[in-house]
Amino acid sequence: MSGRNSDPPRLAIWLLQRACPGDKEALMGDIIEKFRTGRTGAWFWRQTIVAFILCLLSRIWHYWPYICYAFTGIFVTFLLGNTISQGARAVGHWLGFPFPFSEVVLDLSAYMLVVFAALPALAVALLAYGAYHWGSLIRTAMTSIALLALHPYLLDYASIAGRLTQDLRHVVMLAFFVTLYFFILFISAWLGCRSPGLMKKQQLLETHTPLNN
Amino acid sequence: MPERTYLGEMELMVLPAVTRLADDAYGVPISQGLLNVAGREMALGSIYAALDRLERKGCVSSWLGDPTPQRGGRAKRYFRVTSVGVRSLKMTRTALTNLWSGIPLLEGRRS
Repeated sequence: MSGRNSDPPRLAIWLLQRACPGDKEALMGDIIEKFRTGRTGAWFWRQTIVAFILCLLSRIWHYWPYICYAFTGIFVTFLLGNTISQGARAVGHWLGFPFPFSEVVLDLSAYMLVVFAALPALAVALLAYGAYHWGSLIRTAMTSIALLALHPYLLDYASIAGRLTQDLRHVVMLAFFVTLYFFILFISAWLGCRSPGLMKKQQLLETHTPLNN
Repeated sequence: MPERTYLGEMELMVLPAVTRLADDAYGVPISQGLLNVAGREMALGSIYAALDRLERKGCVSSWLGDPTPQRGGRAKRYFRVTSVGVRSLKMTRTALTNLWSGIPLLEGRRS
């Protein structure tokens, strides 16, 4: 791979094709053309890695409305957690459901407060992105609430925390919950915003991404 | 007053290189031009990222050429500067010249 060979490293070409789906012929052609003027395999790999990273970043950039929504949800959950749980308790009390429905309402209302606090961020981001659709917000809200309500039943947090030492427990569990909430909210927004408007906008942007040439 | 298009550092380097090359501006000569004129070797991926941003700003337009054997049968993507690009270059040059003028240290004088 480091010698001066007229055949470019196949693995590098494969990597570039996988990381950057779509028409990358011109960029790959340029890298190959320059490589055949006497560049080394190491040079080819360096070019591939830079292109790979830029391509990934450009793809992540397409999802920034979802990232805004996820971060707002995390911010609301972890910084206003006490206020939210008090609000949820008030909602549950106000509705006056008997046990066990009161517990379900308590849980759901806490998640609903988080989601409804984060939805304006998604709405603003989608407006800025040019892909706002009220249906996207409703789908995202429903998916988020469902996934947030389900996760305590799918994961055994007590056993995870029990395996950690006292010093690490707080930090590791905080990092775990931040990652989990980010993942849940991001996936919810991704599932909820598959509206034709956003897809059309995304297609338009994807044809003009840095490495889509 | 025409709308101002702000150019980043990479775009400021790539756009003059495209303008210099006229109808032969594609990835390889652009990167060679940057090496020869500015003394900077840039990754082709970075150059394409800058070109893409310039295209979105309307400063350049692009079209695909014919595939060639030395490129592994892959087509070249040619770029051409647009009137918006020329205007941006002129405005940026004026702004930078104004910024740099009157600085004794840059003109070889001591303050």
